[in-house]
Amino acid sequence: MYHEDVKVKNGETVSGIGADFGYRITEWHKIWDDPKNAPLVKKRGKPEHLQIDDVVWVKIPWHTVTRRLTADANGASFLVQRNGQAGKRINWVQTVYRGNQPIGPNSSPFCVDACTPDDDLPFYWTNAEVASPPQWVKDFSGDPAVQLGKTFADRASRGAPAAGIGTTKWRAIVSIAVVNEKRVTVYDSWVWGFDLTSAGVATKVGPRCPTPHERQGHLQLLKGGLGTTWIFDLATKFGFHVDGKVLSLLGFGFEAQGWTFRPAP
Amino acid sequence: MRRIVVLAASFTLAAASCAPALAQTAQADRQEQNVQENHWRNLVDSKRAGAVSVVLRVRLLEREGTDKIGWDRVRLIGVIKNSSHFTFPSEFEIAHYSGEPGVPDGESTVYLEPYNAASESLWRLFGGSGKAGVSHGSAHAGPR
Repeated sequence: MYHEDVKVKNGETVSGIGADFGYRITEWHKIWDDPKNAPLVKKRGKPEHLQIDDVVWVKIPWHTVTRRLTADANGASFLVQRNGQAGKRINWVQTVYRGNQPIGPNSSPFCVDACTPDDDLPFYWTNAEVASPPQWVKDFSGDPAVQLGKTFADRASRGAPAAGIGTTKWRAIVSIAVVNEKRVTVYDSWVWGFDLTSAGVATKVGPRCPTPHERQGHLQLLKGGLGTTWIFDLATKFGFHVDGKVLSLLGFGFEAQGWTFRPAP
Repeated sequence: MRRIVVLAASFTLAAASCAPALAQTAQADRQEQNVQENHWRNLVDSKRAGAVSVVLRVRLLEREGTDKIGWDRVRLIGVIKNSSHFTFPSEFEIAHYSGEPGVPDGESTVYLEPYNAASESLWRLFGGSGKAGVSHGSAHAGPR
């Protein structure tokens, strides 16, 4: 549990801010009555008197309540769900090590999933997916009304590796991601994955808590992750940022776009 | 002697009438071959085709695997519809959700939508799934 310091923008209310961060609309008092907001309450008196640029402290108490990892014929499937409400400022991030079998147009073994970016944001689910969840996630979670702000799902797989390249060791770290402007707070992280032998035998790995070294790598990958305005040149192995007509090698990844990533304080 | 002349005449007559018949047969063969080579043009679901910008006939080469997204490498057999500005190469990859079916074995008609808003060269199955993005599969349409 930690607190987000949320700077109030034009038209925002305590209940609306709370809803963005996973509270029910009716739970505004849980935020307003939080001792960390006592100076603000003293200054403004009522939630209705909130002013632009006031800072509201929002407690983030949510945590994962379901972590269901299953071995598949050629990989593994992972379902993670958290408590609280969906909230449009809460999503998931996942970084992946794809071992000896990177796939798709992005040939890097390390990536921020979607490894070939499906939008220009660092989060696992796109805004379009949050608005309209894929059918398979509804089926996989057993919830036709599944909310992706609360639910992470992935079904990773590979073909059996050629004997010469050895066992494929696919690993991922998935975290709850709380979004405050362009600052992303990453917590409640889980390592999961699978080993797949050249004989086609898959063994699930995890879920387990990441080591400090893995947490650091998770954050570093997020900082360097690619969005869709980045072009990865397979020939030169360089990334180019499309900024109008200017291609530049200066600055790279989500961090260069102004995003910051931190562990929960 | 008379008999021989009659036989020769009938042979000549037969040969003369056979020549145009052979040409017609060859033409018919070519037409049939064209129909067979382009038979895929009719293997399309018009309702789905109307919902996407690209409809192709492809053959699956390799199912690469999945992260959040799965990628299937295919060989282009023919273009049924392409209202995008992208010219598809002879081999390319098609995306689908990890939990959804991708391109099936053999030949199939695929309905494609842009993979993301920025790239003209990346495509995924309609709805991110082979359920909506594939029709007229022919698993036994020859080897990969």
